Amino acid sequence: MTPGRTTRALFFAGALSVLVVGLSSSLPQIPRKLAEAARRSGEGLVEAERRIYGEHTMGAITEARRLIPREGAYYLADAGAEPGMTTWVRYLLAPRRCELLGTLKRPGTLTEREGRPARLLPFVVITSHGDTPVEIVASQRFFEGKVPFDPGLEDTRIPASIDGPPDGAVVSGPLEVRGWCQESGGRPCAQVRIWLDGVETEAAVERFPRPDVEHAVRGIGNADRAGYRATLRPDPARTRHRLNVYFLTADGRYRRLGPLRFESRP
Amino acid sequence: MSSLAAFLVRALAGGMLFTATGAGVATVLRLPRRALPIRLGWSYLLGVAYLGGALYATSHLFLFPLRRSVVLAIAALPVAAAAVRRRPSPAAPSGRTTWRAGELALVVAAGFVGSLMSLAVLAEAASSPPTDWDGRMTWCAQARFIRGARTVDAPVLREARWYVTHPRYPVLLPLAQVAVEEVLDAAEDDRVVRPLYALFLPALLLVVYDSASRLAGRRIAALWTLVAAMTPFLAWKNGGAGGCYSDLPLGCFFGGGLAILCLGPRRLSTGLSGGLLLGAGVLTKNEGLPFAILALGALALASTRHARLRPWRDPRLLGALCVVAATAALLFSWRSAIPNRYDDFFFETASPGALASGLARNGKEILGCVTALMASRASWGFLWFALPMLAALGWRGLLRRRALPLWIAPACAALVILAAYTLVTGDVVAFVVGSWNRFLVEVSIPVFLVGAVATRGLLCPRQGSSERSGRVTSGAEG
Repeated sequence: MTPGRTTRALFFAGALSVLVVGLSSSLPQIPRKLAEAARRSGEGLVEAERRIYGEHTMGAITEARRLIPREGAYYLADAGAEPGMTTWVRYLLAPRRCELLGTLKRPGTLTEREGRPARLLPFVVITSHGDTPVEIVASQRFFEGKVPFDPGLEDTRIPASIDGPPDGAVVSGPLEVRGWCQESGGRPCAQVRIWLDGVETEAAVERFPRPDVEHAVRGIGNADRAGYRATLRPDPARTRHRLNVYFLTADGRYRRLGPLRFESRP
Repeated sequence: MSSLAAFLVRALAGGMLFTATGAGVATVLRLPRRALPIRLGWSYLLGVAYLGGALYATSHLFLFPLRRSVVLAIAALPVAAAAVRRRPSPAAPSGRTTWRAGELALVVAAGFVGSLMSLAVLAEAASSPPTDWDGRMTWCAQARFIRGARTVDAPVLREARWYVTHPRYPVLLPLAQVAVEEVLDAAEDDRVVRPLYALFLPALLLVVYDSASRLAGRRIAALWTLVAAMTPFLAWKNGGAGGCYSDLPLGCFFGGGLAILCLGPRRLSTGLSGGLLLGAGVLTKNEGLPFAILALGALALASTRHARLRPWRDPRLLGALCVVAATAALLFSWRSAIPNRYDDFFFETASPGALASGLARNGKEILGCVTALMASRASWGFLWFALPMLAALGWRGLLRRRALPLWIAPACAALVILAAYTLVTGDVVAFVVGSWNRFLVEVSIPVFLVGAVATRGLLCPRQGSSERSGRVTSGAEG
């Protein structure tokens, strides 16, 4: 059946009415966009960046651009910035390279990172929420009092667990930290390092088989060295403690679990 | 207003670099001659594909530094080759040369609206640095790193300690940015490179008009170009021409490549041109490679419907396959030295079981979210209301051999993306909201062409059958 003239006419009438509705919503945007573009066309780059990121941020970025050479590098830390802020800062400071220190859970205290890198880059750029969205700190000051510790590249996919103590536990006497870690396919984590209250413990970490993990976690492989345990003696002078466990792989990656908080009673 | 004009001139200067280069490529590859505006659209796409791809290859394989002299030398090669080549490109098969009044009015209206939209998008792009998420997180940052290191193998990508989001994402667009900045000697002012992304909108409109007019005639082509020009997501939103996302460029490369291969003459040069665009898609986004494979698969499937046209004897398919394979090899070679980090890893859990459980877990939410996004008039106007109705009424047109790949390839791509959604373990709605509209941009050219073919199937159901006997239907009446 071939559509006749009426069908065609009806189709084009329908199509045109749909287009007219479309035009009425699209066309008004055009003069608005053109006017906006005309208003901004006299703007310099600095003014444009201030308009987008704000006076404070661009002040700090300008300072960072001055302090860090274009071929240089810096640490980047997020102290609770709005989503995207760390990536905007990295973009604004590129081609300067940056190493991500991670999220500083409590802005201002800078205590969540254990140890300091063996070879320090000169500056840490910290992004946060509020009046000082971007702050530049000399690395020496940022890592003051911390011992060298370079766990490598963070990889949150490394299978690992702290089975005990549970978060918020109340303990008395020595404390056993236990759990398991292993990469899929039977590669045990090369090292398990435990930090108590910001200091790495000297307690021996024992590795042992975890057949239960081998059965429960598909693809984990032979778990003869997956388990770990260590006995810690928390400082009796304080009651509240913070525990972090680092699982390091042989190829330079790590996963951190924690901070886990517990109380000790005499 | 004069400074706005200066901004636009600067914006167009970057575009000219690619358009002039692409015009040379089109001549060398003997792409059929067309009207000047349409040639400009194709030339822009071919120029970005060639120059970006050539810089990728020469920097990675031959260690050429990314400097202005190298960019200009590579850009000049096809221009010089075209100048040396005396033989003009063959003229496109033409239909009627006379215009009916209604037809002319529609084409003029499409041109007017398309130009206005493009001008507004371009002016907005040239007057403000990027403010979108992906542009700043990935593409513009990568461009700065690569330009700073003067190589596509920048140490910041290759050394695992540095914080780079999606370091293994292909970097054709960042390389195109570097080319513009080098040639214009621009400092770190990304207002110079934003027009690079905005210019893909007029290129898309011209490709849609040209391809649709060959499939369905000028009147229907103008109608669908108008629809494309007035689709808000394509013009204003991130993922469209409104930001520095790579979805619109990928959409142009994928759709343009598919259109050339479907509609071009059976020659090796057609395959090379189409393959160049599909290959550029491979080097533009991760989705580019599966899209190219789907496009070639759909073309092979369509050619089996023709008794005399076996896929392995089709020079278009063979030429395109060679170019896509070469770009994929380049991509894998470049990637092999880059340790992956700060990336999404949901395909690691892909298995039939994971797909089935993901479908049971997320299926309803995904379907609801996808439907709501497509029904949004603020993003897509009436497109997704009209298209299914037209496809149902004009189904005859969709069965034409040349039209088959235009809906098979994007439909298969949609299935792949939907399957990927089922593997998401976190907030699947947020994931779909962030990516589905952008996927629709990536398949927008074949979608508009399917609309044109279905319209023709509805209005002229008998004319499609003429193709089965091999007749050229270019310039067919709307």
